[in-house]
Amino acid sequence: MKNKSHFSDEFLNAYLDNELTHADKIRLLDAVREDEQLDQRLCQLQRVHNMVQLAYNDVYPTTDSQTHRHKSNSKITRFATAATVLLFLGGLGGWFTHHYFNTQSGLTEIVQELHTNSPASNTPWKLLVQVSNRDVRRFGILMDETERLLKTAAQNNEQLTIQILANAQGIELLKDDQSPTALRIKQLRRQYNNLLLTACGQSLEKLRSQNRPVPKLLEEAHIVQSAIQQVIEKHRLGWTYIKI
Amino acid sequence: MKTLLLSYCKSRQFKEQLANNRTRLYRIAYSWSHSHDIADDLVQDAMGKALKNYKQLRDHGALNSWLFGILNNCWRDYLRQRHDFDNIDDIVLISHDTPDKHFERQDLSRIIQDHMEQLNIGQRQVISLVDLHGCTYEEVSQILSIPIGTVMSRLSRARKQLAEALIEYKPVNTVHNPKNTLRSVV
Repeated sequence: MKNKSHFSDEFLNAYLDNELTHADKIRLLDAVREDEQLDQRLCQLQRVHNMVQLAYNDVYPTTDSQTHRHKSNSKITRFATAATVLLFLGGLGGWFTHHYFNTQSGLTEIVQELHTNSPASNTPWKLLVQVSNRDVRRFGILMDETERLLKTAAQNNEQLTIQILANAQGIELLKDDQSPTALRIKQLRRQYNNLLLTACGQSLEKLRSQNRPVPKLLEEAHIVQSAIQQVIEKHRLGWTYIKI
Repeated sequence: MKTLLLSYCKSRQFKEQLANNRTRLYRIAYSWSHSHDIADDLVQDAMGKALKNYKQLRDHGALNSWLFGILNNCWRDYLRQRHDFDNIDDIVLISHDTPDKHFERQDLSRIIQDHMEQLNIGQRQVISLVDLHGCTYEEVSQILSIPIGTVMSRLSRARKQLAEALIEYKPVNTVHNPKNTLRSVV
């Protein structure tokens, strides 16, 4: 037992990594007490383990991804807010149940972030929807959901305001052209004056600074200073916020 | 409605878990690639795939292993694109010791990372998963799709190589002595 060859490096590593059985641990520790060389080998390996940990201790992601930006208070809060909004949607005239089979995949897939202040059913509901990408399918789902909400609210005499806030690539949504999306937004806007269209001024400015083409926006769209500022401000005012 | 809520909540829960694991994934990706750009790409790629396929994850307790498995696939894809004809386990990314780099070696972390670069990729993957993330040998075996015996031998060779290379450096308060831990407290 005093001879170090009794214990391979694999065995010593397994001890350090807590992979040994209790009996093997005892056997090794008994041997370590009597064998200084074995003790040194173990220390050396432990030191390497510690040094590897030390080497990458300060390594952090250099960029912020969308997923990383998902900040929330807690899982419970998230579930509660998600449930609140979905229940609220369900409460708006029953359309949700009616269209459940058509919309469930779209709705659950496109929402990336959601905050609500749990409005009571008799208070006006204000919804801010931020669009940051130019996925046509998402646009379609967003338009479907927006139209249903506005329609149901009107039918039930509910007070509802929806503000669509386009930034980054989502600016495409508000482009004034002959695309089906643009025509549909125009039609919706004509039909419902409680639908607000806003574009992030900073995103437009960024395009200009990069000498990239700046799209002509729908005349119904208002330019706000920045998307982040809008989100903060609306959140402060009690708006429900959804990012897709 | 209930099904929808459950589905929605699961999706949200998964995204949150994924976000919480990002730094961990990044650290492992960086320890494999030693490049912030590549690590960023790998983690983004892995997280994208995880989001796309999260319904395949049946046991949420195995989330970490599953994520690292995806990261490993992304890493292998990356290496395949870069080194079409090399056995990736044999690749050693040599640290080119230029004067500029020499000046950067001001701290022990950098020195250790340089020596980690000298390990072959197979060894580096194993040691990073065990030492940085605390994976068990079985988890590493599943993540990298290699036998446990291979995990143990790679880890052993990696630590031995590092121990020999780093013998002159002694980090503060990191030396473990089993004798010292067996003391009585009155």
